Amino acid sequence: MKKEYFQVGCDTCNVRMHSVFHVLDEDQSKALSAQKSCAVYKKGQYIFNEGGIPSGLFCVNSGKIKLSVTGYDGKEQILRLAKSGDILGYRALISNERYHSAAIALEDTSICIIDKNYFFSQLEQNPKLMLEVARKMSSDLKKAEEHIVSLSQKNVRERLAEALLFLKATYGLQNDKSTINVKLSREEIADYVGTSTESCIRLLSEFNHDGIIELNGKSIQIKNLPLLIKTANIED
Amino acid sequence: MCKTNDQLKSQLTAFENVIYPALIQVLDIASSCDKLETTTHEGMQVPKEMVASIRAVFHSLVTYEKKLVFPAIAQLFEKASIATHTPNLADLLQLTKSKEHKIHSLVRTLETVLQTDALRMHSSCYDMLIEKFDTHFFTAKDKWNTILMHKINNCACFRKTLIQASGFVLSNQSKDDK
Repeated sequence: MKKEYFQVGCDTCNVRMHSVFHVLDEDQSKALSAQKSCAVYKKGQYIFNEGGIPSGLFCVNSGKIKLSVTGYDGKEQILRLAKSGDILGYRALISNERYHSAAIALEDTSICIIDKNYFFSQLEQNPKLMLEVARKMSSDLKKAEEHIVSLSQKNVRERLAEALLFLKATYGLQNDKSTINVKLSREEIADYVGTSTESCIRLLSEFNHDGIIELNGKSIQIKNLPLLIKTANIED
Repeated sequence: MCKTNDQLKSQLTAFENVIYPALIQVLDIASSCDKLETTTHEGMQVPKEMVASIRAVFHSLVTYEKKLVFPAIAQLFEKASIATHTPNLADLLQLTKSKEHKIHSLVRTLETVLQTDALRMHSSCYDMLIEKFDTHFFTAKDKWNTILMHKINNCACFRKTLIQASGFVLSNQSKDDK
């Protein structure tokens, strides 16, 4: 796909004020303009690919971009989305590694690429810019950590649902056809799930709140079996 | 004597006393593969994480089987206990098969990952894990599931035990009762 180039000065760019470069003064902005090139990427076009060598820092002028990696099973895993004012490819650039993810335009997108050596020289000379980049990295790291927590929690939810199905299959249901015919302590259930008692208590409350089960002391009544099976994510 | 019960008992003992302890040992070794490498390769993080996933699913399967599934199946050999409660074998099988399917899928993916050019030189430590799962776990599980399915669908003595537990008396003998 052929790229279309365009010109925009950083000193007159409104987007700059929402990016890490908002700390630059007018002269610094004009100097930055001279060290970049800008292009329009069509929807679906790759801005960079997994394994590529970074040559500069990407700054999104307009449009939306997805950053994704290819998983073990070949499926695409979206890491995050980037929008106007965001910078891309800084992790690989700063750590001097190849890109571990791909950036793909979700719609027609205008992006500027700032020369690698110029960017590094500015980081060395401008503590304010360095601090802004560090803030950006910290913010992205926080988002990544939150993502990890949410993924691991989801996994524990699946495992708890699975444990309840195992208990139902093993001990059956009481005469009401919905209460599991065994009374286990939260600690014992947590042992099956492979999580802490505290997490088990919290997740059982979540299931109760979501209408999947109803808790009555140590008794667990299954209120929505299809949803419990769906939560367990059982493979055929 | 019920032939199917004998086969199940024998296979169950093999899982608990031979197959699972051996596989736990193999997984422990595979988890330390990266420490045995003299050279570091950034791609080795992938098989390491995959072994951790296999280990987690496998340990979970062993926990459920030892605590719930195997005792539930052992109950089927005791006529008296059936009078109080019969575990749902079909549901238990579906749940354990789901875990076995996950393990199978992870082992096959690990095998594929290790065949890539970058990792082929570093794969020897993991080869034993793949080989042991193929020859011991998946084969034994196929056999186990076949016997269990036979018991659910065809075993006359199992049906007879269930009926007797319900208070009925049977007079005829089936071929499985020999």
